[in-house]
Amino acid sequence: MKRPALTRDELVTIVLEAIATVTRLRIPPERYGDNLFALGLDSLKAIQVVNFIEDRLDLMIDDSELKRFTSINAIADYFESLPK
Amino acid sequence: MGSTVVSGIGLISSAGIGREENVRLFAEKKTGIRPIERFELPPQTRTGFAGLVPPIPWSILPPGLVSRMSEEDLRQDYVKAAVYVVQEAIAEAGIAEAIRRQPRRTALLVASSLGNYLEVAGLVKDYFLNHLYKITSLIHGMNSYLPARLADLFGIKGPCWFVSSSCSSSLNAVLQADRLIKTGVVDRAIVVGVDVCLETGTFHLWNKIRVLSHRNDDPATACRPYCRTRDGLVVAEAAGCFVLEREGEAHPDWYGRILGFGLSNGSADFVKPSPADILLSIRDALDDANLPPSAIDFVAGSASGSPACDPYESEALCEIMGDDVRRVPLFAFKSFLGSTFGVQAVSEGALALTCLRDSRVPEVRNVFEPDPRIRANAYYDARAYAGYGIGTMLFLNFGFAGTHMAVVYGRNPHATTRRSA
Repeated sequence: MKRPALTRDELVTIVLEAIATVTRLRIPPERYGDNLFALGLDSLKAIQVVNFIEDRLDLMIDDSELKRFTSINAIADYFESLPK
Repeated sequence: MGSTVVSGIGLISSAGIGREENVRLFAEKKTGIRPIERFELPPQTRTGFAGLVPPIPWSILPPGLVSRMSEEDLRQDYVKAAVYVVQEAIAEAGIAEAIRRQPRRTALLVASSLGNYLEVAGLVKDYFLNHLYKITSLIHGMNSYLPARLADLFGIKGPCWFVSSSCSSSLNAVLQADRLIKTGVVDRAIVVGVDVCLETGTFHLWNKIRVLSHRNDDPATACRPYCRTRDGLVVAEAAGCFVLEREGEAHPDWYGRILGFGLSNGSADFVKPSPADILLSIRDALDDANLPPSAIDFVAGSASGSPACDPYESEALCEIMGDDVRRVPLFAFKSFLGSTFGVQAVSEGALALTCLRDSRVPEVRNVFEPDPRIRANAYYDARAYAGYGIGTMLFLNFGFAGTHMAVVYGRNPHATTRRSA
């Protein structure tokens, strides 16, 4: 999988949109490093957030990578770490 | 209260049709888990295999029943599978005449996780688009349809209802049936589990829940409970049936005696079970059976094959059983059947009770590397258990959305092994 042609801010915006769509939560920037479960997600909601991101970015995220999706920043870090 | 026993079994799985056929295929390790051909897979599907029941021709059903089934019934494998397993279990238990003589003294409970989910939308659409006179479109979609239809076909006039609690649906129904008998409401009960529910849409959703194994290169060994290389569930259709009766009224070659149930419910997280709730269900079953953990000789594990969940089960067993956990074999019937939704207690249960009746510890399946996080005895050598007596079996059944159950069965000391494959 290649790195999406998006800036970090754009990636974060998509993650926030995913969380807001699934949970109606609005996350302030100071909580972008917090664990997703601490933000109020459960495993089912977290999966739906990942599915939303997958559809929005039109890519497939391997299940084995999901353990890295711990926070909003971590998700953005993951996509930024992908090869261009 | 007298004991309730399981005196008849019917089974259809992805491996084959019929109890004896499944027992034979289980012994031969010929699983029905294979690449999907029955329906189209959505694009970009990660998992392309499952356990799908074979086509069920109406010709395998007794002609006397077929002539009374509607066109809609005969079109649906959901209905045909249920009819098949019920007639098979009734025949083995030899209770047809008792039902005929006392129709109100027999209960019939249908258990399913997804029910007739596949048909509902299609039937309602058919009503609006094609057959505006056909109110049966709605009736057929109701979960109460199948229990009512089966009761009518088999002449049963006692309590009759539908039970659904995800993967533990059938065990919940067995619990209810046992209580109906023990409280004297009925003399016998028929528990039918049926989940024939996979097609493009439902399978796509299971993929998107991200709990399935991706081992497309080797579907037959993809369901690997307790193996270090397990990578998720393998979903599979099935239908099964138990006949429950009082011990003194059943034929002498019954399968197993119900000794106690445990149930705990905690749905705070739909996907990840709570280790505390798993523990509670096992402890309650032993308490209900009035047995110490040391009395258990064999554990039929819930064994989802999920990387996260299997260690919870092992830890619960270690905590409850202490040192005995190293003696008692822990076996995963899902390694043969896959994860059969709400049917597990009567599909896995059918094979587990056969092992109990025959006092036979099956060989470990689909374990290629032990997982250091699994400390329970899931890696035993079956040869070391030749001649080992199974007096009591603990059957575990944990459910999606947190309904966890356990049941303790006792062996029939007078059972013969004439029905073994």
